[in-house]
Amino acid sequence: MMQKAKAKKVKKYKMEEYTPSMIENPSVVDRVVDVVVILICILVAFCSFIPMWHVAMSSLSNGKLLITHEGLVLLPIGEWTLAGYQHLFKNSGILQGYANSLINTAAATGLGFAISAVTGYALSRQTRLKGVMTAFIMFPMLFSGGLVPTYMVIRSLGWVGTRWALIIPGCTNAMFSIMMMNAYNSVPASLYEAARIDGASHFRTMLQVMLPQAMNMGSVMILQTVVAQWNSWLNAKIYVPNNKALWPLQLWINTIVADNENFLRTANPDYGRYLIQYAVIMAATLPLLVTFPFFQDKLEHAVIGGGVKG
Amino acid sequence: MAAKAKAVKVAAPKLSWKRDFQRNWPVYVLFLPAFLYTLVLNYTPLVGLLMAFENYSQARGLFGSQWVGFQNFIDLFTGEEFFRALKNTVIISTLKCTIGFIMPIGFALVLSLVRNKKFKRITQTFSYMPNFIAAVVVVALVQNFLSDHGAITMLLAKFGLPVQNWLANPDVPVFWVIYLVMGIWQGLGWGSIMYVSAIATVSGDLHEAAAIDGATRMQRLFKITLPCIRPMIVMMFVIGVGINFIAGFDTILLMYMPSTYEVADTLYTYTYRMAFAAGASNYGLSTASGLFQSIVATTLLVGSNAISRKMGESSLF
Amino acid sequence: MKKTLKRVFGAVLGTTMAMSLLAGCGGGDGTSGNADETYTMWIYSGQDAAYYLDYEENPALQYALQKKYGPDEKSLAIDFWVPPSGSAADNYSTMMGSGDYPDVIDGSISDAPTVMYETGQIMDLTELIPQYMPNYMKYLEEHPEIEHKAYVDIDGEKKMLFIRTMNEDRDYTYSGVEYRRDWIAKYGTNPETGEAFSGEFTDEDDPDSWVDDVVFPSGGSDPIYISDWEWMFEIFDKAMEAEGITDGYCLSVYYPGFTWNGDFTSSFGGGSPLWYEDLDGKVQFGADKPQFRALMQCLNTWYKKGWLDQSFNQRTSDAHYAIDDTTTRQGKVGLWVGLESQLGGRMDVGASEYTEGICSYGAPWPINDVYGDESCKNVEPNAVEYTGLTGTTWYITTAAEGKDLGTLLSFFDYFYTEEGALLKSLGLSKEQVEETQNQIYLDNGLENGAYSVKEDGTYLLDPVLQKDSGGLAKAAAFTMVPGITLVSSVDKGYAENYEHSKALWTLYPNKTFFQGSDVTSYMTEEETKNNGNIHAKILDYMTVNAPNFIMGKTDPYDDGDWNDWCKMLEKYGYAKVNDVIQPYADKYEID
Repeated sequence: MMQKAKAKKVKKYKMEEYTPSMIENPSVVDRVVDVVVILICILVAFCSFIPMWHVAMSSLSNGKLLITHEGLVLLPIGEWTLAGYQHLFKNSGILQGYANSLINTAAATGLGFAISAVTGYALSRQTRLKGVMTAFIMFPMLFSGGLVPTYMVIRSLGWVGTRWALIIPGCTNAMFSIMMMNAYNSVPASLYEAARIDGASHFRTMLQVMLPQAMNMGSVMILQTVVAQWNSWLNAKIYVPNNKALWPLQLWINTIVADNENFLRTANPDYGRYLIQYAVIMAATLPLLVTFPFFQDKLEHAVIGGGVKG
Repeated sequence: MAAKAKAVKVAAPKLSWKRDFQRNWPVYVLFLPAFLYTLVLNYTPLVGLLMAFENYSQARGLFGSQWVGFQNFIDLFTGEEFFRALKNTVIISTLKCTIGFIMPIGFALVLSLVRNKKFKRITQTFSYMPNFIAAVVVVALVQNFLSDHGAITMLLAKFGLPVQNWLANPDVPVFWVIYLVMGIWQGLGWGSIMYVSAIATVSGDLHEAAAIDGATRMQRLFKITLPCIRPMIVMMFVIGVGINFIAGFDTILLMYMPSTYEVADTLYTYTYRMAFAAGASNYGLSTASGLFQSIVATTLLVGSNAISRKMGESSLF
Repeated sequence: MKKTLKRVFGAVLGTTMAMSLLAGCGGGDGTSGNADETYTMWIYSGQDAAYYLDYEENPALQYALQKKYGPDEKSLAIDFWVPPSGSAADNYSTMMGSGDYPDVIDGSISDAPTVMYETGQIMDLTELIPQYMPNYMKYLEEHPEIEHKAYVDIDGEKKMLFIRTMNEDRDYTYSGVEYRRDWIAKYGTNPETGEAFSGEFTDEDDPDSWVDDVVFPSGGSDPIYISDWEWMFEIFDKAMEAEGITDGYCLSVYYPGFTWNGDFTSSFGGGSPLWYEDLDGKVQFGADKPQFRALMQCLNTWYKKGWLDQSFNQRTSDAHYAIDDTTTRQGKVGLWVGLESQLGGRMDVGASEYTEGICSYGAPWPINDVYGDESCKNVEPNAVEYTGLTGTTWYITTAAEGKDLGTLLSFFDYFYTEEGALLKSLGLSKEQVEETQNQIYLDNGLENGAYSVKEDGTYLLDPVLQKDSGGLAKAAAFTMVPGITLVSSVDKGYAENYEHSKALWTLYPNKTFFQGSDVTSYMTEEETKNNGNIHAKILDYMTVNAPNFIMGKTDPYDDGDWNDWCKMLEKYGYAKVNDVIQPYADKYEID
């Protein structure tokens, strides 16, 4: 067997590292499994990609012809055009929207992560109030008081019209705390005991021992928060409707689509406006899809780095 | 053979309140942020649930509207089609919790068998895409493909199925299958992220030891990987049972039609029609319906939690 | 790695929090500054954000604010509260729910004024309007037929609780019945002489240049009766066969088989399928009457003949004016309810082989002369949902108490003069643009103003605006204010054919459909809620079962089936709603 030096904190991903999918001598059964697995992956990738491609191609098509077209759009219909995007970016505020979304996403993710990581730890420890605490944060997940009462609460906090209303509400939820709790639970007791015996306080234990081990789940949580925050517009619509300088990207997008809905109720419709509904999907999603590979890199490292050794 | 790996919890004896507080007060302090957050932002607005017991009028507000006790609930339950809506909601949620629940896990397991890192990464990135396409566009695509001359209809015709607009078909289980597949398609990649990362944390040692002992990949999958992520699966299932009863039904609003009410009308869509027909808005009724659904969902959650605890699995509380 | 991660996030969090502390207190700055009086105003929707960001930048508004108003000659500034497009309802809810209202609110989606007055949200303007708004009062005097619409009856007293926008006339609407005139010209023959018709576009590039010699069985050049429609369907059948269209059809209808306001239903003797006020002033429910039965029989016959879209009841996500839009735009449908952007030769875009040479004309809702008994025939359609002679109501809220209302009301009164009405309806004139050098007008090609004055004193819309489809008109004029909306004084530059089609769409005025009018606007919440309950249940039943009559699953010609239908409707208790609405129908008028 190969001697592998498994340091507790692995800084770099080593190619020789053993992974669950590694096998030494592939047998016939293994080959078959390989093929099946690859086919499934290709099928999933294809089915997932095609609709996105359809949207992308539609956004570049000629609006007049697109509106009568049935079925999948594999290549831009008619002469391809950027009219949809032009209409979209004619709104000078949209670039500010991108900036706002970035800021809000970063802040909400950071804050949300901090809260969930800490809460998950608290829930994972064996205390007498553990069940109560868990129930306490889970209960409201399934109940909602409605739009107006929530607005009143935010208003009494003085956050209406400010960026706080876009960052703090919704930055975390019970699910994430539960996920972190689960991650902490899967850390072997030995590590925890060792740290505690060494005299570390709960806080230090959490920071230096548990959290690193739980970063795999933490990374997932961060990823999901980033996407949710990037796509959010509900809070902005309600709390900062009059401050266009604070609008995130998605609120701009929704507004622009609504502004351009009625172009067919005129004598000379500009069919380029029909393309807007497709262009907005690309404008909002492409940044995410493009940065994903980088995120995934970090995720991989965090995962391997946080893998349990020893 | 590799021993069944299971997360071992520290089995602590139950302490007295005083000792517990002395020993664990930092833990409680750590819980404080979440406590405040949830209390202020989630619990306080719950006062809005009072609407369910009022003849809510926007002009009079929450505290000025007329109190009607359980009348809204009675109106809800005595509606002709309430039970039909309930039935459909139960069926669809069950499907989402079983088949819909397993698929992302299955996909994550399949991904764990992929040997080429790059291939796996690319597949994953592609699989995320459907999650970002707006529901309206997805529904439009579904309507297109399943229409009289849609791509999928033609494909199914080759297998002998009749050519028709599948979305208009009121036979069991057509609509449910369509809705389920659509949901799976959209959520597969994104939903599997968690499981993929959980699988990756399974100790390499265990796999190595098992491989030495001659276990095949499939055997390792079922005897090591799966058991290791079992606690997580159980937890997600318990949570899912509650959530799937309430969430995700607004897409049906775009997909159903009077001829498919028998199978497609759910509590959400039924309430939508009853409370918001003809420009009137009966917020009291819609809040009552929402409250009813929340109570059912909570019951399901607590129930499945208790069952999983009895069965020796991890539980939430 | 983990430490770094934590550090990075800590840093990001710290930075963003610092930044937001600096930037976070963004509030609307409005145009206040050196004006004597500032007011706040909530409007239902603003302008397309592509032209300018804040409604305060509206050129016509800015022009009007240059003047001074009120008995003390003061200057004003207005802070607008505008919901993001598409979210007016939620925005209104939170605004009213929190109690933070502005001085003026747009009544488009508000609650009944009687309720708002009772709960102390709006002010009583009965004394103030006559005092400060002479032009408004003058308009009411000159138009006695709508004078009653400015008042609300509260406990026997006539009060003025709002300022109402007045429409010079009933405006056109943007959608209506359309049919392929080119098929009639090409495949039809004169009903009298049997000669073939001829028809063509005189100018290839002008979609409104069609001329023909088509005559309908009823004698005119437009279809008026159901019999005209059936004559057209025969021709459409021939056309589709000749063109080789296998998946087309003669006409489409809205998926429940009826529209709830009465389009097409009132062709069969008047009224709507639900509640309406008959010509004698009595509140009726339509679905179990002979008129509705005649409609069902008509559609049933058309369905059997294959004229009606065989999948009509599946098209539920389509709006009533764009049913099966794809097939229509491929030129495979003979008659449909469409938009003005489909009139003339506008659908000939080369997307489909069947749209070559297409010409769509508008038609009015038909008059039934074929189905049912005498009460269902030869009555002009009278239940339609168009704009009436009055528009939005505007309220002054109690938040404005203590403010100088004389100045505010005088400002609004300005828009009931010809000058002000022009600013409200159209925008700036050429002289006004030159005077102010307004950048928004200049940037969008409106150097010559939004309109020019014709010899006869009416106003011609600027060609740039005539061609615009993106909300420039709304951005150029100060539309969101009480005042007079000019209609007949404005020439929108329509071609003759185009205008003729649009005129046919509003040929018959509404006399019976009252939902949304004064008749239903003043009911108590209890009444509205109870009516709503019954309405929802009945509508549910009807949308499922009316198509059965049409598709032949139940038979509208069979008395047994029809009586079952009537019995079910009675069971839902529609008569209760009749009784509730009747007193309001007696007190108030529909238009």
